Amino acid sequence: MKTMSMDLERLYDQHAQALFAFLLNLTRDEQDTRDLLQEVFVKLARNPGLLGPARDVRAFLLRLAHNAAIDLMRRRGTQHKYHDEFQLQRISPFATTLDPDETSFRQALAAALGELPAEQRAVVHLKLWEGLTFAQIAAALDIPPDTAASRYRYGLDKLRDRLRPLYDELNEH
Amino acid sequence: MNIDDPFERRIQAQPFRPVPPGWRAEILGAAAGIASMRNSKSVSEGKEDVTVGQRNVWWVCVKERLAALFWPYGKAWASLAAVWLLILGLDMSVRDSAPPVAAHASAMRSPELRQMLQQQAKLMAELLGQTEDSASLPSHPPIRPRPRTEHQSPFIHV
Repeated sequence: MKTMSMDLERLYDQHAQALFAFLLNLTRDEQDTRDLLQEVFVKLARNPGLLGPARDVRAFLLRLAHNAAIDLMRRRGTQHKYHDEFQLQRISPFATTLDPDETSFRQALAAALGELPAEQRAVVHLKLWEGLTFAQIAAALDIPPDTAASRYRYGLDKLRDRLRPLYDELNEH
Repeated sequence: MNIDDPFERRIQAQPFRPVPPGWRAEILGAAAGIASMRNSKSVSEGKEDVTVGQRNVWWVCVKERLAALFWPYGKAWASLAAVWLLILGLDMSVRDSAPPVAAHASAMRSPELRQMLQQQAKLMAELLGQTEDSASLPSHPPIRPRPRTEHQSPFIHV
């Protein structure tokens, strides 16, 4: 019992930040992110052998988090579509900074990411901020590697189109 | 993973917000609660008494299954349930109003009403010129139809 609790604490300390960022980027809602993060750890507590066969613990936890987020979005359905769109525009998953240039870039990046479809956003996040290969992303999201690669390319092109003017302007300074 | 594109590197360099510090205790507390319930369940397995933890786990399982079953059309199921409740309500209200109708029907058969009806019939008979005496006289034998050949005329033809 105590070992189990210590295992969960260790897992939390090692992976909670990555899961939090991924879930916040997907949901753009802090309360939903908290609920989903708790759901992941409750699932681990309920099934201690869940992590047994996983070779890459981080990728496995990201997969659990992604599945929980998708379930939540499906439960919400179209009922909260407009609410969600509003949230996507409003909540930034990025840390605050005192640098005005960085602040404006992060705000623009948060808005541009929010405009991506959830499946593209998930791939972009896992590639850029988790450093996973397309094979690992494919395993985590249960999609073919080619699909992961194409989603990343489409997502990044949209971000580039959206952020290029600001990016060039900031680079000129 | 090496990313050569400066634009991608710039995006990659943006840090995410940190996890709110209070979450650790809350989330691990909830997970530990589930773990202890699971532990107590496995310890008391085979015994007849059911602990509160087991009941909670059972209830969580039921809720999860119901949610999985109903979530795609939650509104539709709720509407259907509301319609059924409305129908049951209407049915109950009709049943409630049924006894007065039965009471009215039985009132129609009350002795006072019967007496009143008899009086009205008597009055009607008096108005039509009939009396109780005439009513008590022996009545004529009923006239039965006979063939024309047996017909006897009361008049004498000259």
